[in-house]
Amino acid sequence: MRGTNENMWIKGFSKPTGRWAGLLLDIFVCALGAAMLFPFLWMAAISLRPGDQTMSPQLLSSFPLEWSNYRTVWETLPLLRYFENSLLVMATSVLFGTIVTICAAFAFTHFSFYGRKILLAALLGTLMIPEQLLLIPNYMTVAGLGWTDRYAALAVPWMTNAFAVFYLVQVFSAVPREYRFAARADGAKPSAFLWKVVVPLCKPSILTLALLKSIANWNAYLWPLIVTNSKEMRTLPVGLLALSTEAGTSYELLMAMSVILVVPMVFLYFIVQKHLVQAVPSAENLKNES
Amino acid sequence: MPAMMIVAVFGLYPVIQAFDLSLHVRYDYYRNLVFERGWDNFSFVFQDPEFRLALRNTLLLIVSVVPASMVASLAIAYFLHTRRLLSRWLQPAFFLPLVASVLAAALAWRWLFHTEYGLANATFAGLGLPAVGWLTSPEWAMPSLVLFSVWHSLGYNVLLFLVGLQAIPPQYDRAARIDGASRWPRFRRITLPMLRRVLYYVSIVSVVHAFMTFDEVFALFGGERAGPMDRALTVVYYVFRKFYSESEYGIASAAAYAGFLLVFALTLVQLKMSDRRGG
Repeated sequence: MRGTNENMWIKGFSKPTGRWAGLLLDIFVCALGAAMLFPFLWMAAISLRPGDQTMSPQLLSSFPLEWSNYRTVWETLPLLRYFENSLLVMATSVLFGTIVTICAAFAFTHFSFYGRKILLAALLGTLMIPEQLLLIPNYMTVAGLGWTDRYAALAVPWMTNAFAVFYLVQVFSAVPREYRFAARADGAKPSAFLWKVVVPLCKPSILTLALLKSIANWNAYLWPLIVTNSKEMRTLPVGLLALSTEAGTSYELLMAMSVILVVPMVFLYFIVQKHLVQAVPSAENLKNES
Repeated sequence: MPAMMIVAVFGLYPVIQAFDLSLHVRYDYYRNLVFERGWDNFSFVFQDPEFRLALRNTLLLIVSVVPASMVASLAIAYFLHTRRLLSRWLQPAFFLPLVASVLAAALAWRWLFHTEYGLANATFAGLGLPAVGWLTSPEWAMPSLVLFSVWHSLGYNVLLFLVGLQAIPPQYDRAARIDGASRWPRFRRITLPMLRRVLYYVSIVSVVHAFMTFDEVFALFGGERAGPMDRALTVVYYVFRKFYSESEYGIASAAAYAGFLLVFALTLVQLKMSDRRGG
C-alpha cells in the first residue's frame, strides 16, 4: 500500500483527499481566469447591443445582435486611415527600435569603453523618470524639428527605451564569453558575431521585447494625441478618445471601437505566444550585472 | 574595429540622446528654478495639499497593489506551473489584460463599476449589500483604482513568476516528495527560497510600476479629473496635470523629483534587503 501511495505522490497527486482539494483548486483558478476575461466579455457583448439596451445587466440578452454598431463606428471615424496610421507607426518604430536597442545592448555587454558603467547606471536611473514628464521636452524637440503632424513625430521619439536596453543587456550578458573568443579566433568581425551568433541565440527574448514594444506602441494614446492636429494623422487609440468625447454615452459604439482596438493585439499575442514564457530574463543575470 | 565603432556610435548615440533629453528635463528646469525661484517650488510642492494627497494615494497604491498583485500572481503562476494541461488554456486569460489597451479595458471596467447599472453593484444587491458609488463617491475611488490596477498588473507578474518557476530544477521537489513532504511545506521550504531573486525583482518592478500609476487613473475616471473630488490623484497624475494643463513646469519637475527620490530610496532599501538575505 505504501509503495503505491508513494508512486502516486511522484505522479503529482498527494493524498487521496488532496485530489478533491486539487479539483476544487482547478475549478477556482478556472473561475478566476474567467473573471479576468470578464471585462472583455462585457465589452464584446455590449458592442453588439442596440443603443437603448446597453445598461441591461444580462450578459446575453434576448434582443438580436446589433452588428450595425460596427458599421456606425466605421462611418463615423475614418477607421481604415487610423488603422493604417497605427500599423505604420508601430511597424517602423518597432523595427528600428529593436535594431537600435540590439546594437546598444551589444555595445554595453561586449565592448569596454570609457564611461560604460556610468552610462549603464544613468540608463537605469531614467527607468524611474515618469514617461509623462518626457512628453513636453520631447514635444518641444519634435516641434523644433518641424515634425508635428507627421509620421516621424509619432514613430521616432519612442524608438529608444531604457527598459528595453537594460533588459537586453541582461540577456546578452548571459551569452558565454567563450563564444566571442571563438568567433574572434575564426576571424569574425564583432558585427558578424552580433547578427550571426548573439541575435539568433537570444531570439525568444528579442521577440518578447518586440511584442511588448508593439503592444505599448499600439496602445499609446497621450503622445499621438499631443503631436497630431489633423484627424488624418490620428491613431486608433486617439480615435477611441475622440469618440468618447464625441459620442459621449453611446456605450455600444465605444465598446465596438474598443473591440476593434483590442483584437489585433490579441492576434499578435497568440502568434508569438509560444516564445513568450521562455524569454523574460531571469533575475539571475540581473544580479550578476549589478 | 571599424565595425565596433559603428556599433558603438549607432547603438549608443540614441541612448545618449534619450538620456540627454531626460537630463534636460531635470536639469534645465532645475536650473531655471534655481535662477528664478530657488527652492520655492519644492517647498510649494510639499505644502500643496494636492501633492500631499497624491503622495498619500501613491503610497497607498504601493502598499496595497504590490502585495496583493504579487501574492495572487505567485499563487496563479504556481498553479499554472503544476497543472500543465490546464495551463495551456488558462494562460491567455491572465495575459490578456497585459495585451489590451488600458483605454479599452478601463471603458469596460467603468461599465462594471457603474453605480446604477454596473455588474459590481448588481452582485452587491444579490448579496443584500447596499449599492456603492464605485467611481462617483470619494471614498470608493481608491478601492476601485486598486482593484483595476491589480487586475491590470497581474498578467505581467504571472509571466515573470512562471519563468522563475520553470528555472527551478525539479529534482529538489521530487526528492522532497519522496521523503513524504506535502504540498505546502514543499512550496514553503523549496520553491519559495529558490524563487527569492525573482521575488525581489518582481517586487522592485512592481513598486516602480505602482509609483508610475497614471494610465489607470486617466482611463478609469475619464481623463478630466482624478476621480471624484480628485480623490484618486497620484503623484504622476499630479505631475502630468501641472505640466500639461497648468504649464507649471518648475513645479511639475520638483514634484517629479520628489517622487523620484522616494522611489529611488524605496528601491535602494529593497536592494539592500536582497543583498543581506543573500539574494
